[in-house]
Amino acid sequence: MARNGVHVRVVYDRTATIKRRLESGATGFERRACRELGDAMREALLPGARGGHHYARLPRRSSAPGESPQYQFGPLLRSVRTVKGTSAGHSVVVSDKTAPWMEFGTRHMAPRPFIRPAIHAVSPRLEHIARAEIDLGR
Amino acid sequence: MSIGLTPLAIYEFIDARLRSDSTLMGMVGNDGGRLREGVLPVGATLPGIVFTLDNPTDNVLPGQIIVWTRVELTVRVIGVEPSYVPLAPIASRLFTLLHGSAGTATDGTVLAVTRLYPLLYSTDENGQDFRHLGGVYEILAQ
Repeated sequence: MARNGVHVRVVYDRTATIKRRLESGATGFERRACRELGDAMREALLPGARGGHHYARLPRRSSAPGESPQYQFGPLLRSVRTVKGTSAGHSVVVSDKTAPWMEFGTRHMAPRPFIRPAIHAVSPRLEHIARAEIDLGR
Repeated sequence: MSIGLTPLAIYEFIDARLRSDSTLMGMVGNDGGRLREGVLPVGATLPGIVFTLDNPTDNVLPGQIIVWTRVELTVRVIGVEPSYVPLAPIASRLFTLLHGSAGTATDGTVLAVTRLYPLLYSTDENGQDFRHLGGVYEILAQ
């Protein structure tokens, strides 16, 4: 039987391009967000003015509770790395064992947070980073 | 009550909420040194509970109206146990008391307490391992 009428097939030929841009943008976003987060952590761990004690065995005045840790010999700063997982996306790893001690405290030492302040500093920029990375995928 | 004293209100609320719970105090022992803000005193008997208030930020509207203050509460039970398991009932009690709680203190009102993520780590001090178990909570207060 003959069929009357008109069939319209919509072919939006930019779908593949948009998909590619979004995928590329998402990857770029993770990479850049992690890089900025890692940089913010490293910046917090640089030598600088701190309000704690100056112990004789250490080169610089230590941090007071609530301040970011002072740079004394550098293993904590050097352990901040941005890594790409095999299945998951990028992440920031702080591998020095003292990282949780500084961030959350020990038995007799109050926290010297540097991870959460870095997250708070970078968070407001996430939308801007996402837009910029998607635009780069054009 | 003053919006400018919200961290103090949060401190009062948390301290009173934990200290007034007989179950929790029964688990750690209520000798005054087992529940502290900041750090445990030197020589304190373990397990002990430590809480700290970090990263206070105000939510400010145009016109410099402070709607609420957001603070991160880190609370953990510290033990000298070889494993985390003996500390679990205390950490669980802390979660029960804090997550979803709200209330009024002398210097303000705690609107909401929500756990952001759990904590589990160990520290070694002079060759001795200490276990820390607890969580980080978001607190909104005014």
